Amino acid sequence: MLNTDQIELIQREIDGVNTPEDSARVRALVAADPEAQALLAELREVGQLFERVGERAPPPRLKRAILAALQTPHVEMPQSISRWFAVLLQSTTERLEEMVMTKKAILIGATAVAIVIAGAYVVTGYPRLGGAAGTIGDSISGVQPAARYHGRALTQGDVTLDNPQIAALFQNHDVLNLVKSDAFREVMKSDAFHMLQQNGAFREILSTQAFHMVMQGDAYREIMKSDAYREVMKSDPSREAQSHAWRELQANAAFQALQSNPSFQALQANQTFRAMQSDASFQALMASNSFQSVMAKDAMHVLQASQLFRDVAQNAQLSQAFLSEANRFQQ
Amino acid sequence: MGRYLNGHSDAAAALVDRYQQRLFNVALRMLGNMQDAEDVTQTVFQNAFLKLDTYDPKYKFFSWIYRMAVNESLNAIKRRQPTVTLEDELGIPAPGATADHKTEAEIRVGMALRALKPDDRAVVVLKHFASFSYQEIAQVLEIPVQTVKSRLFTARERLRLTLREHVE
Repeated sequence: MLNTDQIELIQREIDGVNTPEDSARVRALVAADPEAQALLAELREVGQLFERVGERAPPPRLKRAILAALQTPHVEMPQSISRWFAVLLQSTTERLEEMVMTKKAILIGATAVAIVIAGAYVVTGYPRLGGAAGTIGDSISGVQPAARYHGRALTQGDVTLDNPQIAALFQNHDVLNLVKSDAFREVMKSDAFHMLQQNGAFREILSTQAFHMVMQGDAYREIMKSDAYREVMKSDPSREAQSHAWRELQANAAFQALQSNPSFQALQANQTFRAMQSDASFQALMASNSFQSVMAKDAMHVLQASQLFRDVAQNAQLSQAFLSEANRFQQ
Repeated sequence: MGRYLNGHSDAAAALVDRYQQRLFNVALRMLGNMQDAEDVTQTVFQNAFLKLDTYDPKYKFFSWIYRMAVNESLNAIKRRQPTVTLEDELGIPAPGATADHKTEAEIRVGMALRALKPDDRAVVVLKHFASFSYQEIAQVLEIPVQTVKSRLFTARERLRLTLREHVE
């Protein structure tokens, strides 16, 4: 029976850290004791097995994903802002990890978060009329306010509940069922939903030109229409289903086009956009079962793919009208 | 790293090139799953770049980033749902694995590593897949050298027995 010292001696021999004298002791021990001989041989076999396995090359997409997720360093950026930004994103990452959608958020990264936000935007609509859009640039030193989107001036006709665009949407049976669903009702009633609407960063990002350019782009429209996107949004957070759906989406030409779209890249790099991701109410909404349920519905997929709905979604007053009308149907 | 902090955007790619394969393999052996290893590697780099300005140069960079990889892998293990996939159960290599002599070794290694406690697995992975010394492992894991040896020897004994049982 080998004692502890003898076993350690043999283990150290495997690691190649024995002195010549210790190695000589091992050889003597092995020569005299079959148990020691067997132990040395089997431990060597373990090491050789690991050597045979060697290293796996990571998939090429990994480097692209890492670099895409990184914020390009900026030499003029004040150290305090750099530090603030680091803390902010770290905080975001940590909180995302605790979310129900952890896997989805991390897997998809900023890309899918943008799409989810677009979905949230469609559900939640613009900030309420008359509300002053806040900007975190006002409250956080060094953060530049995002470029604002300047749409056409709205008329009273746009905001009436009798607007033909709104009416057309609610003539769709699927849309009607969606807004009458329990999940949709829960989203609209949730505290997270209401807090998000009051959030300055959320309101700010909705007014950026980059966001509107993304929403209007062909690539975004194609993604909204794709089965792959629907599967990602419907998929269970479990790893297997998520991975499969995500790979499908990654292979989608429109998805790849979106990632190289300058507006989309600008959106991802936007400080306000990132700040919004770290907002507790936003995260709570994204993580809520009701929101995920709404996003997973086929009717939501149809809605997001429709030009009509996107037109409504990008117009503050029409969005408000849509929500009001939806609320009326829920009564 | 200094070049990255000074605004050289190509420095990020260079850092990724230098460390991604090693970190990916640490995560892969810790988790036994390609997709999870990708997730962890990406998260490690994201966190590393975010924390670069808080990195203390008096510590070795490799210790710092490997520690993040190990910790992130351990966190991923904790977060895992208790379900075991068929692939995990059977030790089937992840998609992309070549059907050569390595496959059998991959299966055996994966099966044996899964039999270890995560903390012990980390020591084995750093020793056998990152080729670190006892001292380097101690730096990465922030534990005494003696603890490293104790865990490594115990784990390797367990591996030996597991592999023997598997053959029998």
